[in-house]
Amino acid sequence: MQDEKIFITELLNPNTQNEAFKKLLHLYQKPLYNHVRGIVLDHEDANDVLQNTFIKVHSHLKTFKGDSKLFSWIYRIATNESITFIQQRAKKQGISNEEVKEKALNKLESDVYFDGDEIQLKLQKALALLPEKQQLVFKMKYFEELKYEEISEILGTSVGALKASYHIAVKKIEDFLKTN
Amino acid sequence: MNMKNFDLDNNYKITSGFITPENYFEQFEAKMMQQISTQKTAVKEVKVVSLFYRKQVWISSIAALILLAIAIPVYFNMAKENNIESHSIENYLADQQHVNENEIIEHLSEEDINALENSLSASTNENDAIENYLSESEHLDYILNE
Repeated sequence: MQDEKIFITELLNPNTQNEAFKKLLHLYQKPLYNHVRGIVLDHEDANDVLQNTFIKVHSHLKTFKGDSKLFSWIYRIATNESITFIQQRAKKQGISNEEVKEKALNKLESDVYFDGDEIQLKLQKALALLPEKQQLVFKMKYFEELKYEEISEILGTSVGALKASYHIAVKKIEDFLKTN
Repeated sequence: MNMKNFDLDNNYKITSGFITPENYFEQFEAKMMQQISTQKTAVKEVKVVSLFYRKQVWISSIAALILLAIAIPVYFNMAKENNIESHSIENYLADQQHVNENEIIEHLSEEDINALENSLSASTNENDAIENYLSESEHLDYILNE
């Protein structure tokens, strides 16, 4: 926590800002990419959302109060940016958020940046059937291997509720994989 | 893989299958650093419209609406009152048509009477003018014969 305070002052100090931001990019770009890609599915879309996320992080650092950890704050921005991206696309095309996700899922099979065989594609299809919150919890726990405590800080949900959500999601996915 | 006894937590881990182009993160980092340095200069030029200013606009428009809401009914009520007034004046005047000469005379002052006399009395100049007119008139004979 002490280290984080120092890091934040470095990020705000005009003399150390650039170096500190480079460090932040190093630390977060890969896990955040996976987090965003898990929601928007397409690589190019994930690239756009990731850029917006870092620009937002950079321009809002001054207002970061330190009530939460920098880590969960950045993840929260990335999650919101991803969801906003889907909503904006839905609005633009005059379709629902679910239809946008369905389109992305159908595109995945032919995506050159998707190295999945049948089981991976099936898992994505099973995931798409879950409510949004359960999808998020499952992806963060299973693919991104975040701790419940970390997910709790990002999503603002209690650890107990997250565990319940995860187990329901796992059960539904297993059922889907067994029958399909 | 046996799907019948599928157990996500105990089977081998299924990866997300998401991959990135080669050197994607190196390029991403460079691109981000560049974007942020241009953003920094752009931010300085952007004029910030504060929330307070917007609030002020809202407050003034609400105030204007309230003012209109009060002023419009008041205005129309006043207009109505004026109508009634002119209407009753008309009625009053219509009722007072039986004013007779004596009443008018009673209300005339000395000055009024003098003014009336002056305007009514034919001056000598005017008499000459009438005579001239009559003598020049072609129909004088006809008039005299009448």
